[in-house]
Amino acid sequence: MKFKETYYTLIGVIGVLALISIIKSILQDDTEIISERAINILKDKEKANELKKIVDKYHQSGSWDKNKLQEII
Amino acid sequence: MNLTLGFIAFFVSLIIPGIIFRRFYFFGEFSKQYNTKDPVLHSIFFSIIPGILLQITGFILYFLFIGFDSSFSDVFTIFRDITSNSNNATQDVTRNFMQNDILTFALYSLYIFIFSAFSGFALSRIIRKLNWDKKYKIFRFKNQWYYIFSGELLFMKKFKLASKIHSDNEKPKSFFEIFVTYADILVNISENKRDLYSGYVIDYDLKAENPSKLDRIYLMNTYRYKYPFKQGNNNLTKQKQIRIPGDIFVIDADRIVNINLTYIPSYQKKIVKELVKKQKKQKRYKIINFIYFILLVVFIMFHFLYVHFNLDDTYFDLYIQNTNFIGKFITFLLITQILSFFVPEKNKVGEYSYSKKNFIDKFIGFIIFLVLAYFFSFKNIF
Repeated sequence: MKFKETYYTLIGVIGVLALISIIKSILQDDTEIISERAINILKDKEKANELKKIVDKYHQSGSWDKNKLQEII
Repeated sequence: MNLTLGFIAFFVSLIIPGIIFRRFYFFGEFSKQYNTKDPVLHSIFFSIIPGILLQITGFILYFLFIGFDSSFSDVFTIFRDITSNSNNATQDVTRNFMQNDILTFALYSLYIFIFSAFSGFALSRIIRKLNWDKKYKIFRFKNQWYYIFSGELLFMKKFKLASKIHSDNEKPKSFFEIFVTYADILVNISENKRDLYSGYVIDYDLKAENPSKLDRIYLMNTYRYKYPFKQGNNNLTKQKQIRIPGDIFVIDADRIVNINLTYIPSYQKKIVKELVKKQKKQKRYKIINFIYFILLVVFIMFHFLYVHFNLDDTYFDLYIQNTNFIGKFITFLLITQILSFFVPEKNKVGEYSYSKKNFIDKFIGFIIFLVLAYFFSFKNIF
């Protein structure tokens, strides 16, 4: 009797842990290549254009304009 | 009949746990590596090794924490009777198992399935958390395009130098510092025409039949640069930049000639991350201080409650019996001093931290209390 109780308890604990983990994994995903915040910034045409100018400048000079980048991001 | 039953037992015991493990191991962007269109034999083959390892680990854990009613030889006999198609008569233990313990086997299998799911889930997260997939090739996921587009590629050994150049000698410490990836993609339009497209990478697809190959790439805020294409002339110059209207621009990977990626760093993210890290550290230090306080209280309480712990003829019993109040007080100070090595101190700004100066002070205090404790307490015990 005791054996069965322990068995069911263990299965229950593992089951609950697995369930919590699955729910957590669905809610949290660290493998996105772009964040929600980044998409929102890129949706803003002005900010997206500004960012493009910074990228173009970086392509020419080889260094980032940190101040402007901080303003946008 | 025996063979069929053996195959079912083999499938339930090894293949299904392996498949479940793989399903939970490949998560997020890496789930593209686990494809339902995979050939069945391919899935079965790659599930056997994890299945065997999971079955062994699950079996050992079950044996250690719950135990089996049957002996190992019984388990072996049942397994042999079920899987073999020999003419040997079925043993009593196997018949008994078939009649009475099938439900137990089903529950055990369920435990193995849950264990497999949990193991797959936990292992992949641990690998990601500890950055082992970036440090060691053996742990790397097959979806190389994720590493490329997310910029995590820069934190792999081979590309560290590139990342150093990229960020003006400020080596990024974590992939979280990359805000978004900007791509310049040269596309083959026709035999004599190539166009350059630029935009922010927001997603990509992999080929179903080969997850290591890119199928499509999705860009946002896309621009097109028109180049004159002349055969034998590589000296191409940028002509015109045209903003492509619309929200998402999709490029077929089969037409891509090459891709130039620019990882846009997020300095603000870096600051926020450092702040969060600092706050977490302070929280951890506060917990250490709290534990330190609790341990000291427990040590004092133990002097009064030790009789309930059956500690007769132990060193603690000798210490209680043979040490006077001063000896006990000095021992308490010594314990306090030893524990304090692990406890951070508050600095002038009110933040907890470990410092060399404090360590030296604590060490001097420790030596003094150790000598005093020897004369007032330990001398009477040892």
